[in-house]
Amino acid sequence: MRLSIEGVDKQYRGGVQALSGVTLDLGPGVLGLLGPNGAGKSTLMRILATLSRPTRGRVTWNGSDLAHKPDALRTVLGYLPQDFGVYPNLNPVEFLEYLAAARGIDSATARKRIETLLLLVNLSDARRRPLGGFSGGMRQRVGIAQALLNDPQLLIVDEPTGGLDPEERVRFRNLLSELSGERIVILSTHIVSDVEAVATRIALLAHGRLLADAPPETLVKAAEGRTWECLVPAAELPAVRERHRIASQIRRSDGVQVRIVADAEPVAGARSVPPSLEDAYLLHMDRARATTTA
Amino acid sequence: MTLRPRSLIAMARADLLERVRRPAFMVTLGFALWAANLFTPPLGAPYVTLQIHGHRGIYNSEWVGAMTAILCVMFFSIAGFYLTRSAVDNDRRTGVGAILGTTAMSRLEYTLAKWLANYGLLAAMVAVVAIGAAAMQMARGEDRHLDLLAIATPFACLVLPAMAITAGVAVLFETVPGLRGGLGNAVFLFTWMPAIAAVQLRTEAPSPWSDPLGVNMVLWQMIHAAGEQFADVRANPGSYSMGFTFRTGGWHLTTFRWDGPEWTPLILVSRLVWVVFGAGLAAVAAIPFDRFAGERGLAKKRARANGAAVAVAGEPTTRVLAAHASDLVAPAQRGRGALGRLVVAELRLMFHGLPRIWFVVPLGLVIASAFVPIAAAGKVAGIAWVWPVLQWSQLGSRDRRHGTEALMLSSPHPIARPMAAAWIAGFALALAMGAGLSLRSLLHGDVMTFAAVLAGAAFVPAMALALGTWTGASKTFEILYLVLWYAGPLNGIPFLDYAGGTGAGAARGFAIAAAILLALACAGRARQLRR
Repeated sequence: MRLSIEGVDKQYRGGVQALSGVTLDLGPGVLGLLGPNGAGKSTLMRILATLSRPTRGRVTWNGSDLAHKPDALRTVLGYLPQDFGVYPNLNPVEFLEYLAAARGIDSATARKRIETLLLLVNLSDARRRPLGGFSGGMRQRVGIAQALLNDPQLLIVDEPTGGLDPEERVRFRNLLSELSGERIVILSTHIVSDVEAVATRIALLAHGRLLADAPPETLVKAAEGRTWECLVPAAELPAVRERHRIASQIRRSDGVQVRIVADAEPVAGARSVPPSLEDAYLLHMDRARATTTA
Repeated sequence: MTLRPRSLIAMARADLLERVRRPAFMVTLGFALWAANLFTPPLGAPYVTLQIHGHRGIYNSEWVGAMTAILCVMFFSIAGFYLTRSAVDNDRRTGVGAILGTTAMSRLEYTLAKWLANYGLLAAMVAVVAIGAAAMQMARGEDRHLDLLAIATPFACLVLPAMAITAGVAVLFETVPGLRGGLGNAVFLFTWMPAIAAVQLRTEAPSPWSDPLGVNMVLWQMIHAAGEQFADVRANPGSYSMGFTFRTGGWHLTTFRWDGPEWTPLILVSRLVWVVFGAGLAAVAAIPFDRFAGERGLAKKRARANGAAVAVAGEPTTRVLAAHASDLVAPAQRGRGALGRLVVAELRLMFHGLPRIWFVVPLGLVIASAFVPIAAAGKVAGIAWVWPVLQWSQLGSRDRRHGTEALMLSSPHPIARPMAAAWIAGFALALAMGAGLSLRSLLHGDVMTFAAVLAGAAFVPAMALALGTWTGASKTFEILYLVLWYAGPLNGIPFLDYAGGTGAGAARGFAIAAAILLALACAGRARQLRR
């Protein structure tokens, strides 16, 4: 089971360069695709989901070029797009039966799977209610169920936890790690904590370019010695914010405790702290921005 | 109800900009230009658009301006309705309505703003036809003296007030519950078209107060002028035709010079009053306008659905997976019967949520077409073919409308299988509509009529798929289909009768058209994948 992305470029009409020379070689496990809005994550997801073709480069699934043999992947692909809709007058069972038919899954298998998937996404009790009355989070769970309908070998989920409440988010993350054993899972998001919880490997994307591709611990290690915490008076906060990248801040009675990502001690008395994945992410994005500006 | 002119204009402006920046608007303008060309056929053409007992005016600016203006009123008062009637629906679908509903905007402001935007859109289209008319006068070359004022005046005095009414009716139909959807399209067609068809001239000059479209006033002046020059016109005052009128062997018209309509102060005032009437329709539309309260209804439904789902804590995923792992990974028998299952799923989608009465009406028509006298069977069968227009119109555009495109396109065989399934489902539905006539013809050994029904049944879903796939919306099909149905199965124009009611003359043409349209639909689907 191998998904190879080889020097992929994508240029949209009007000259917008969404991807530039992205190369990744993936085997079973969870790849977390992180990047800011407009980094090219969804474009890459759409190419991998056979919905779009690269302008240059190629994507192969077990050696087959997706541009020429997309059905080789489609039969084993589960895809949850960032934005998707439902047929409002159908209930989740009917909607999933329809998509199962589109994927060529026989009725008996589809029925069993749908029951299990509705249990998994905690929608069994809403199984006979029309989708038009579902909240955003409930629709998202229907989307997750449809992505798993065909027992996919490649599961692509694009911003899957948007709209989910914290409890359901944790549930989905658990589900993703439990499913990841013998599959390739690509999880695209800008929520670092989601990736941190499940990804065995992380790819950072910005301005359509791959900035890093490494296990989470390697990325975090790169930020060691560059993460600081200090207490600054509230009045000085704007000045600190202007000079440094603040990762987080907590208001206290004696000032504001800030967490700063910087190469050198940002404020006299700041103490170095162990970095998180979010700190590492911010560091990479800052460097990418600096390179682009230069 | 408050009315703040500044916010009204700001809303109308934003709506108009949003609509004119769509690629479809440029296509519409292209059609408007093409219409100007069609409205002015050269001498010897197989059809005429306006003739008075075998005569017409020479193509000078006065005649071309007035004639194209009359035709513009006739055709664009219908087409304009369908073009502009989605203004409120767009706000509902995009969610902008939910935002607007929470602002200080009054219902009157909103409906008037929509009317103004509709009117602006139609005015732009009319302006293009007027420019096209000037170009056509020069192209036809019967009189090369171009008088722009003579061309523009009928458009300003005749067409623009008529468009104001159309814009108002469109807003009204969008706010009255029950008329928002396809039912409103059909109701408009069945009231407006006969109203236009019933335009009848009396011997005396018509009153501008009873002539909202203004066609009669100008036409009366044209006929009166022709009558002064031709005795046969005076002898046959009701002998004229408006609209596309074909004749085998073509038309051989004689021409006369006409100096244009006389715009009396009474006529001008009446036209202004009709503009105000159009705005008044939009104002009336404010009464049933629900300020997007449907969104609130949805919120209630959501709350109910939510409540049920969160009331039960989900079983841990580990436990579910452990208990049902075999269900999730059991190998599926892919491909076997996949098309059949998808056809069934398509049919289910088509009919889901329809009340039983929906099935009763076409069933009655189908049964009637099998038993009524043979002379009436074709017409009865033809009527049944309009019933499922909304089911067919969803075929090619449902994915895009509901946002399920990515889910379907990432499935195996995303072109051939869903296209074939949708077409078969639509074909089966069409065949059901023609069942009475086709069974009857088979029993009488009339294989040709049966073949005509088959060709029509193949054509309709292919047309729906092609138009839906390429436009991404159902509206284009609904409009074109209703026009085609009105001309073919209902009025029995043989070469447009896809329902087979007038015989098998057009069967081959519709079969070929079905094949071409199906290929176009597949190409459109493939294009969606290549983006």
